[in-house]
Amino acid sequence: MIAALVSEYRKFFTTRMWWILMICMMAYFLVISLAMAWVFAYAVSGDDGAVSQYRPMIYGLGASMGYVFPALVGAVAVTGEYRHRTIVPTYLAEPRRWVVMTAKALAAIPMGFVIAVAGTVSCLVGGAVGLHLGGADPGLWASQTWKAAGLSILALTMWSVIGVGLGMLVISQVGVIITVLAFTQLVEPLARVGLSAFPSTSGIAKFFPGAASDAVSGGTSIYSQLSVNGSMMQASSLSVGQGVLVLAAYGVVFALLGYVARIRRDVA
Amino acid sequence: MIEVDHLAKRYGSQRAVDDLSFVVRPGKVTGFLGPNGAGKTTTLRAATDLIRADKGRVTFDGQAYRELLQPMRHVGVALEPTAFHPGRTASDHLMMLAPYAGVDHRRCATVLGLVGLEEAAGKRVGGFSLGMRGRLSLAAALLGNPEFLLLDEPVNGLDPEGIRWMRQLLRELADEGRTVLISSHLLSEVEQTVDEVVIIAQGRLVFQGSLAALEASTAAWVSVESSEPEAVREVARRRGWSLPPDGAHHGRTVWIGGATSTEVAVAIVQAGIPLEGLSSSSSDLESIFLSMTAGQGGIR
Repeated sequence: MIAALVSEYRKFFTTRMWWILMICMMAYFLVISLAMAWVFAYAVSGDDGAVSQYRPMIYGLGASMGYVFPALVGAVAVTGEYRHRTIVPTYLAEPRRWVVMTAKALAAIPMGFVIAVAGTVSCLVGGAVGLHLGGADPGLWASQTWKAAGLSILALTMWSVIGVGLGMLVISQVGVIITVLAFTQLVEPLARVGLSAFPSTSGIAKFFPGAASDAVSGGTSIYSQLSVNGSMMQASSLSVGQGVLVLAAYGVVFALLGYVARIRRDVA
Repeated sequence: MIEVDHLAKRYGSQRAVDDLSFVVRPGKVTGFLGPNGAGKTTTLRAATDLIRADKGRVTFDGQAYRELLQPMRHVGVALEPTAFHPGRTASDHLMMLAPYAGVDHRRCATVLGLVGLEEAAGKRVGGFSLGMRGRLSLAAALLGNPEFLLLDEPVNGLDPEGIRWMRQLLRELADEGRTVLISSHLLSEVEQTVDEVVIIAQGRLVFQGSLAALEASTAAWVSVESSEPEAVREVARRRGWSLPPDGAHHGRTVWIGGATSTEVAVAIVQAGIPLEGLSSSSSDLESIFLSMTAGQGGIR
């Protein structure tokens, strides 16, 4: 298992995909957190209470809006193996496929952590600069900021594990990119806004992976604000711990489905 | 010793490998030959657990591939020269496999030198020629210093100089006591490299033995053209002559081994079977191979 983990780690860091995606993610996080922080600070100018209440939301923007990046990094780490057929030498080196797949899922944790830290730092920098430009206190040393950053790292790391599971299930590189983009950028946001507008369905929306991610990264995301203001209804949200569990469950379920799909399949 | 024991694999209704048994001995280079689609690659994939055989098993000194704890240290496999991430360098590719083989960067450098890629160690595989990719596949196979080598079409993409180099390397590896199996769809390509041949067609064993035995046993292959090929085969069976495997039927031509053309002609005429044409194959190994594996392009 150690050999498999070292091999997976080397595979990951010897291709360019991970840092290309990471740089895109950092740029995106920097821009959105800067823009939102600036607009927000400008809008609430002088209201220190509002600033300290919503600061964690800004610093957790990556986890609530940009989780597509770690998910893609994790997914492509798996599908790239099939696309470039390096899965053949991998299975030749370790015919016990469960070892390979377990190593992939476990190796995603430290790799996802690196990406999560990079993304969260981008949000901290962007958010702090934005708040400062808007005349509000960035509050970088506040404990709630550190908590938001830590939870953002946790959520983003978990997303890369979910990505690995999804990659094992879908296998096709193009397929997994389209699936991840379509679900996270279109289906889920629409469904969450739609479902949380009605009291009878708002209980479902909170179990969506993106909603769970919000819950982990502070529970005060754009979506929960939207639903509160839009429907005058207290949107139900999971606690941090529940969010972690739901995200972990998605990772485990995808990984298990992928495992079942791949374990006996011929590699032709 | 590699033992292939009653191996069978079908894809849908097609029998890719059909009850195939043969052994590969150490200290020799064995050619695994057959036309494209004969089942060579399927056999190698089943041997290494990439695909699941329907029946039978393949063992390396008695152990199945999946039972080997660090397979790279026992069996070196080079299956497809396309299985590289184009963005990785040659040495990155080996380093990614090194933990499984239990080796470090020094061994990676050694095998890169062995296959003549030391200059290209830091270059991305995306820019490699087919021949260089073949060499890198071989380097990966050699990484764990295995006693068995399974190489699928190893001379594919190599220039004449590369083929000579490969021949010498395989010879050295076999002389060290290793068991070397190389596949090819052209006998002529490996004729000067191999000691033994295993020939298959339509998933079945056609011949196993030394090159000399191949030449001797098939020197007298006679092709008979008749409107009653089944009757011709019946005559051959009665007389104890050899016939290609059932799969290798092709219309009106029947190949008969172990008899001279005169003996065959007399027997067929005596049996009252219409005889439309008869010729003996040349002793050219390649045409023997072709006649054994399907008769395509054989002597008319």
